[in-house]
Amino acid sequence: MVNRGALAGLAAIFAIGAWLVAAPFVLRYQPAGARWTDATRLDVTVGAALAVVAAAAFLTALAGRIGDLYAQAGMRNEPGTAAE
Amino acid sequence: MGVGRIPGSVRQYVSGLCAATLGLCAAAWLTLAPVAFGYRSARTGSALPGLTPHSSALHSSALHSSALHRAVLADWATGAALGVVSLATLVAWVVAWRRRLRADGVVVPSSRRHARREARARRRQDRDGVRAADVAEPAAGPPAGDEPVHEEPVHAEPVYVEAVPQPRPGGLAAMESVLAGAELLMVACGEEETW
Repeated sequence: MVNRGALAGLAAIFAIGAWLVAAPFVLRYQPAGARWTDATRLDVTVGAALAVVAAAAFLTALAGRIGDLYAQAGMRNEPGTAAE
Repeated sequence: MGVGRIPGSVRQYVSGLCAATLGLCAAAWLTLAPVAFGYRSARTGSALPGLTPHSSALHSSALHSSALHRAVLADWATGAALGVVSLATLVAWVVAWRRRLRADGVVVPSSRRHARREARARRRQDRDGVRAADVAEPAAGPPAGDEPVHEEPVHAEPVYVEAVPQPRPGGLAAMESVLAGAELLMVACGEEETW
């Protein structure tokens, strides 16, 4: 029932979180060797939280989807319905 | 769908909705953070908080300024992209959950528009019935000869069918009125099919 768009959205949120963690170092607004600036701290914190939540939601949805598939397969293999 | 499967099924939709909502909140925060934390207005400031005081020369200040500018741009762009993606994800999860609820029979597939259309059709039928009855009655002066027959609208103003009938003398008159009112309410709320 969960469509691919919903799962892809969660994956995209995870990717954005990962990008936020990496952005200060990729865009070099965090000077090397210096203490982390406010912008870096903010981006890394928000990005990490976002990535963790999106990954957890993605895995939960995936587990639910697989559970649905197992249930459907079980219903199909029931003795009463297999012959039909 | 078995009863034992409900919590797991609901959990996946709730987690997806929560993640999408959190993404929206994070997008709003990323958009506001450069202003709230003041590192947007402090772009032209002299020193980085993390640098030692002797390194805050003019050259360093210019570098710092451009770095903060990049940080602000990155936050805003990421926040905008995150907002769009989170909104789309939220809509996708809502649609998926609604579809699931309909497939499981929890939500009756009835729309307000459908109920309104049916109510309109019923009103039209009632009106046509009234009109047919009027036409069946002998008119006062039928058009003579070959004059074209002008079919005037019998009722120019809309016919209001009494929704709640007057209480009739009898034991269950009040109950009939209540039931008629409830039916009208259900039609208006789009729950006609369940009724």
